Amino acid sequence: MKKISLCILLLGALLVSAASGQYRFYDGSDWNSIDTLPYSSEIKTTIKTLILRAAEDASFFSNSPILAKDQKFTPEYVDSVNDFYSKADNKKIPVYFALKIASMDKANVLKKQIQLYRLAVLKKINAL
Amino acid sequence: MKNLIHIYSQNRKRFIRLLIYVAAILLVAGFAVTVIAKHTGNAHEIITKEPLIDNEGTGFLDGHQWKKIEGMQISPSDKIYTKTAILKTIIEVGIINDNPLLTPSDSLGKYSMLIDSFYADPNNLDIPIPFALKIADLSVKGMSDGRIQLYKRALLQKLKQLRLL
Repeated sequence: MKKISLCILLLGALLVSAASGQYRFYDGSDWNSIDTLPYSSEIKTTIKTLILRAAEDASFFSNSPILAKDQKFTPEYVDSVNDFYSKADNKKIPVYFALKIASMDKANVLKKQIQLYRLAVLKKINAL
Repeated sequence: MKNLIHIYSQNRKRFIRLLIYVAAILLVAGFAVTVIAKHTGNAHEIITKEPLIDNEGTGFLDGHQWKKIEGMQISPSDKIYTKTAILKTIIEVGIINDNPLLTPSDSLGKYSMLIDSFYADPNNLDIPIPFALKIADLSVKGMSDGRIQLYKRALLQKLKQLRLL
């Protein structure tokens, strides 16, 4: 009898934890995990470029392009996003916003403004 | 030393012949290594230096780039990882921008396989990945092939109208 109640208790705990599981966007943890793959840096950069270009294309087709009209996707964005995700505080930020912040930086938006935007995104993500 | 010079002067012709043989063997070995490298693992990086991603096609990520993932020198599971990461990113960007492309009804692996077979048709290669994903979703949600073809035709017409193709 004790065993059955213990099993029920355990199952209940598992269900509760699964139900409360927060959705996780493709973020810095996923991005940084690419670096652990056993391939050349060229291949890792290719994978990262594909992901950023996917974000850029999807933003274009959802009528909210990440890059401004005069901006074009360049490999430098991969470096900027690498740099962004090297800071532990940014790991929870979805890759869409990481690219957005990189494009703001490239467009010479004020650092203070970028910082405010980053904090607003973090607040929103933590509230989800 | 004197002995060696004596042997050399006596066998000069043989020595030169030996040198020619060694040079020929090295030449053949070099050629063989190049051919083998072309057909094995790191051929892409070692030999061609051709970029893995380019703007062949529309300028958007489309079937041309999708198919190039298959040619990358990475494990099959990492090819699936790359493809599903692309799909996850596309779906999430739609959600973030309050303009969701779709709500997945199956695993991203399943969507990835459907997109593989969609791009197997060369007529579909210029269609950007977000729309290939949308078409895969219509298929997952049970839309008939006839209606999917109509959707595809209308989509192509619209993209051409907007000069995006």
